[in-house]
Amino acid sequence: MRKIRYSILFILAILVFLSVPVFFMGFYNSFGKIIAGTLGIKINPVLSGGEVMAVFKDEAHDDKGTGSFTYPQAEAYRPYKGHLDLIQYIVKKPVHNGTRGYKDFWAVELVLGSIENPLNAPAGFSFPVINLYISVNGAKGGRLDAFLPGANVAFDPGHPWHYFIRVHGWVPDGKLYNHKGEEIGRVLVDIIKKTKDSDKKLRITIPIEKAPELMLLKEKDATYHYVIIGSYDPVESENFRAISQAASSAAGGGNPAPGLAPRIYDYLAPEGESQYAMLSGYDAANRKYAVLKPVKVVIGK
Amino acid sequence: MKVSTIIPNNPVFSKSLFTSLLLTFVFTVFVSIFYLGMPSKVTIIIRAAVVLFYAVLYFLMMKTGKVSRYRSIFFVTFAVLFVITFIANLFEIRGSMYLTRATSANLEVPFCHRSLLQSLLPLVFNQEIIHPARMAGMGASVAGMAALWFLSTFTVGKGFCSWICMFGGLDEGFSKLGGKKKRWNLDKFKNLRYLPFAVLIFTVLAAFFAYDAIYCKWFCAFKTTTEFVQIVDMKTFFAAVLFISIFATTVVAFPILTKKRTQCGLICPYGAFQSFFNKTTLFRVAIDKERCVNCKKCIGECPSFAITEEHIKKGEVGIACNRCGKCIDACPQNAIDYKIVGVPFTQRDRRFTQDANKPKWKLYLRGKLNEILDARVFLISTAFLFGTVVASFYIPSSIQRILNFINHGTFLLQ
Repeated sequence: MRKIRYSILFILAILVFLSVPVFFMGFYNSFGKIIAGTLGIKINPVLSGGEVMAVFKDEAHDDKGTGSFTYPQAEAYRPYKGHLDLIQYIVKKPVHNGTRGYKDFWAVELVLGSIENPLNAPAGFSFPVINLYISVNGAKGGRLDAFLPGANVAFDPGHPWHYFIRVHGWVPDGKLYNHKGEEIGRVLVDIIKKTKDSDKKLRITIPIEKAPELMLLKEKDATYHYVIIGSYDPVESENFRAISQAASSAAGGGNPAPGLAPRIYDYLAPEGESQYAMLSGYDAANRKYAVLKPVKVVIGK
Repeated sequence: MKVSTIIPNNPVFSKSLFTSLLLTFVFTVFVSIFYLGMPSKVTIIIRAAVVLFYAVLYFLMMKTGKVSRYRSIFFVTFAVLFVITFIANLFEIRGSMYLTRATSANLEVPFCHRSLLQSLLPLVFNQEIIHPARMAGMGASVAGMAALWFLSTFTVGKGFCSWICMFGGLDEGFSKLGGKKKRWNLDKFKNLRYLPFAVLIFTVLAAFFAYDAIYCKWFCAFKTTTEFVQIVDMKTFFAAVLFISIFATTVVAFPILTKKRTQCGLICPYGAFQSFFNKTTLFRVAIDKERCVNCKKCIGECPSFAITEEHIKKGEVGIACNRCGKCIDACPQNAIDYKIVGVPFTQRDRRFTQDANKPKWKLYLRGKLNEILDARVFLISTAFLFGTVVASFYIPSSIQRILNFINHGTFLLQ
């Protein structure tokens, strides 16, 4: 009996030794799948930007504004597509964790055709200027103009915006304004790499403790988002690069109504609407800007 | 039937040349699978040289019977070279050692086994990891470290802390500087051995209630050798001063003065955590009470405060034992050795048994078999193989970087 017991123990000792190479060669990677998948373990949403709440897909290669816009002809813009092309708009669940050392925030992410920085912008991306307007259903006040005028658009009277976020790559972070035009905070802008959707995406983190209407949102409350992307210009009106009839090194081209048509290369149109049609909806006779419609985001969905 | 068992008074548990070579060959085959068989950017010559280095150390462990002397060479080398590759990697990826907001936003903060503890309660209650790290993948991911914990727990137990941990070799290395004389004798402070458990409790609870990696952000000495938040205000300045102070004292100064691994033995929460799993493996370090002459040399030698007089009386060591083998090397009576649980020391002495009635070849084979079927062979082989596999990510790369530095003046390979 003793011999058998010892033999078993020595066989076990051999198996323990063999478990090391077998484990490293065969099972090391499966551990990740087991942990993340089977056990449902995840990185704390506060750190990962929150759980995904809504994903809006935008048509790829539609960075043509009204349908005819072209990029400026400067070398930096090569290959003259993708830099201003919105592919996805991802809205994450608001994170409320103020009591645990983190501020309350709400993150949205933009997947673009490409995020490149040939001009060495401090935030790591050279080309887009992004305006995000949020309308909170039932909130008082709001406005229908673009506040910073460069985009040449107006907004749906049914959904006046209450908060406006301006992001571009030439300052480290973006700005958050209320509808009175007051700057009420800075939004964080991070480039997220190696995502499933693309090589990179932009994450905009909005500190909602600065925005009472956003802070107090509850499940089933609705918000409406206008997402517009122009080409950044340091000197043009509110940083929206001019788009002329003919492209030059400093201006885009293909604009049938310069000064009136939106200086927007891509816009997240709601389902059933056409970007080209909406951006072309300006009234040339009465000199009125095109009116945009938002996408609907319900908290908790 | 003439059977005689003559156990020398002071047996040296070294192996014969043949057995040492045979075991070294088998060990080297396994190591080679990882070093020579896997795709790597490091040249084959460097990788082969590293395998040869391991083979020599393993052979010497077997042939001389000295465990810790040669383990320590590997362990300290691993720690130093780990630092070189780790920091060089950070410069290649981020351009600096600083932990930036972008790194956190991208969940690319390296995750280490010590980080695992801080997510214990968040894992239990919320299935969440409170560290901005990669979830899966080789290297410093959550799953990678969980895999390391799982495997070490069921193979070498707390042997992780003296064979596998990439940080432990630093305080062990410093403990060897400045001669063998202890300027401070910590052995008289018996309650010190409870300190790591207090640190563990603090680490786990602080992380849970703050829902933040408090230990990593404020108390980890090894931030100094890896990465830390850029100093931009008083808070980050204070954190950096704290990291450097803890490193300078517990990793550098105290080990030199006390000859103990004070960082690992006193304030590492992971070591304390692993102590609870020290009996989940087949292997133990045990004291042969019949051979022990109570010289207490092992108490002074133990770098992790794991042996007391009470332990000697019981013939066992404490749960804090790292299985480093220092007490085994130091014992003048060879009364301390690794053992397989359930197999008594008498089995270890079978090699000294002579049976005149059996043919010589049979006795020879049996002798060799008894030499091989030895707890220390299994423990050393398992722990050393484990350590070398983990080190395969760092040691060859660091050697290539050092050569690159000599030739081109930079540790960076890109």
